[in-house]
Amino acid sequence: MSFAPYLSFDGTCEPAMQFYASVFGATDLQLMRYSDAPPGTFPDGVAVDRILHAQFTLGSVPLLASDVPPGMPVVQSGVSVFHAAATDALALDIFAKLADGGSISMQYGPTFWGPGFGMVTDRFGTHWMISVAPST
Amino acid sequence: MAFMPYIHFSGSCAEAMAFYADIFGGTDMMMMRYDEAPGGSPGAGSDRIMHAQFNAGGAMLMASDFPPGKGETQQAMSVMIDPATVTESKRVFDRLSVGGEPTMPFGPTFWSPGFGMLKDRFGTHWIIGTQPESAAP
Repeated sequence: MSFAPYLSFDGTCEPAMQFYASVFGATDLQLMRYSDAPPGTFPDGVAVDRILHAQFTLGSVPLLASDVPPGMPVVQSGVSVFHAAATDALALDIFAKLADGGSISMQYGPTFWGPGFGMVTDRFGTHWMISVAPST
Repeated sequence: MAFMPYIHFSGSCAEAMAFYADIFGGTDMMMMRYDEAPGGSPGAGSDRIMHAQFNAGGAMLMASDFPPGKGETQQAMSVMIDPATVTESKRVFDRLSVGGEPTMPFGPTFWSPGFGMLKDRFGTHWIIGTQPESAAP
């Protein structure tokens, strides 16, 4: 069993997940639309272009996301996605890509608890905590 | 290298994480208070939690409190868990639901033999989806 982050977007799930898959180098992105659900699951014509479920996997834990139905605007708050990259250089690269068009809430750099850590909200509204895995 | 959900509370982190660790059989609970951080940190004098984490069978859950005076309601991210059996999923769903509110009642769906969503009493949103290949119960 794992604890996996499941993000909600208001119509931007597909570009957001494509962006994240590209940033993290994932190649197994799956996208299922509301219109792909079995007949009768949703009323006809509802949110046909929105994403019912999307995911890709990095290591053993997936990043999961979907769009909310239309008319239920959501803003991510009070939650972040934590990722520990293998190296400091990789963490910095990921941080910079996520910060492009987003806003940095804590610049990436050394902290009292580790060699590299930073917090950024990307242009899709997802809050990230990017760190470096402890060297083994 | 994985992705981990990181939950932010507004003062109830310690109580919430103890609740979750009990439900999931968490071990190695680690909690650090803002007051324990080296000098100059923003939360000096606060007993709010700067960082907490525990392990549950190799999975890690991480959380903190916002610094004193700050706080936001959790929105637009859920923690998804995938227990191996419907029985275990239902147990977790029922425990987490105490004092909270289900947003989708637990039951079979076209993608999972046992699935449910809820907001617990600490404001955390959970999605509980039994692994599809598992045999009931």
